[in-house]
Amino acid sequence: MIAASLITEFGIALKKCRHCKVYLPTDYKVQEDTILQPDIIILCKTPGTKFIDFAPSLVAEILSPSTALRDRNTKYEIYQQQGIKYYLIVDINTNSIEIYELKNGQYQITLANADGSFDFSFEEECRVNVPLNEVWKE
Amino acid sequence: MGTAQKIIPHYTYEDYVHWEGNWELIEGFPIAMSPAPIPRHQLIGGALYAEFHFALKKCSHCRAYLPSDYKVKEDTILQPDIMVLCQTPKNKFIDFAPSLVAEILSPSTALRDRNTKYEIYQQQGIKYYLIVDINTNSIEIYELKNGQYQITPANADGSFEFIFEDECRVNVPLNEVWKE
Repeated sequence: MIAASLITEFGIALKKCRHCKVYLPTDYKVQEDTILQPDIIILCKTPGTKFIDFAPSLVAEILSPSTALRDRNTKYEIYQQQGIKYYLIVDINTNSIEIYELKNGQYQITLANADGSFDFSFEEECRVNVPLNEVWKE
Repeated sequence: MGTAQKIIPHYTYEDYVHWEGNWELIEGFPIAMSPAPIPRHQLIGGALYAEFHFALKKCSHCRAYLPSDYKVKEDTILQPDIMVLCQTPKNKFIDFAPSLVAEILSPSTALRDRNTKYEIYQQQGIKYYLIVDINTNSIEIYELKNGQYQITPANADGSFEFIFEDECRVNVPLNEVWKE
């Protein structure tokens, strides 16, 4: 449900941008031996027909007991190295979303606005305010 | 030739829950769901999901869901691409008929979506079944009438009014999903 709500919030916000779109999990081929399926992906250009072969503009992972360690370490490193601007880690146990933003090639945790929203700035003037806190309203 | 190859296993939910990876089970027969659906499948799926999620905010009981296990019976577990449920599932899986299911066609699933699943959804009494064709940019709306699916046209503006339980009537602009 949380992934779903987040998709809706991004989907609505991105309607005003021409090129940036939200995707449900699909294959992101980082390299020949590394294929990931992030829970949520934002792309600002059209991918190939079978898989994504470039760095997304944003990825989000919803933590689950079996993936948390990998999401916080292995995937964190890969996403940082690939130059993915935003990496969101969503913790459904603590109802929190950590926003990591790439600054000088390193992820830095970044605070949401006081109202629980966050201003994402994607390619080509696509700036959107996303009410991230909405996802916890069930 | 030995006799071993003639023994075709008949799996049930109890087996299914232990499998790694993504599967469906139809009358005991396992169907692999890997690799992940192609990017455009997931773009349209996300867009359609968002339209339903947004429209259903005004209803108190009906919610849109992304793929989750729908246990039709012990040997049949499906994962529709999008579901609308008007009650909260109490188990690890959905054990009642959803109010709507949508399947986004892909070459490997189209035949099953149009035949096997169509029959199952009709038989289970699922009021709406949407078949989404990402090659022709079209959504077929099947509505249950007297126990049979009938294809129903959308409104002229590309929207459709769905009538769910408990006075939940929502107008969903289905054509929005093709705006890329």
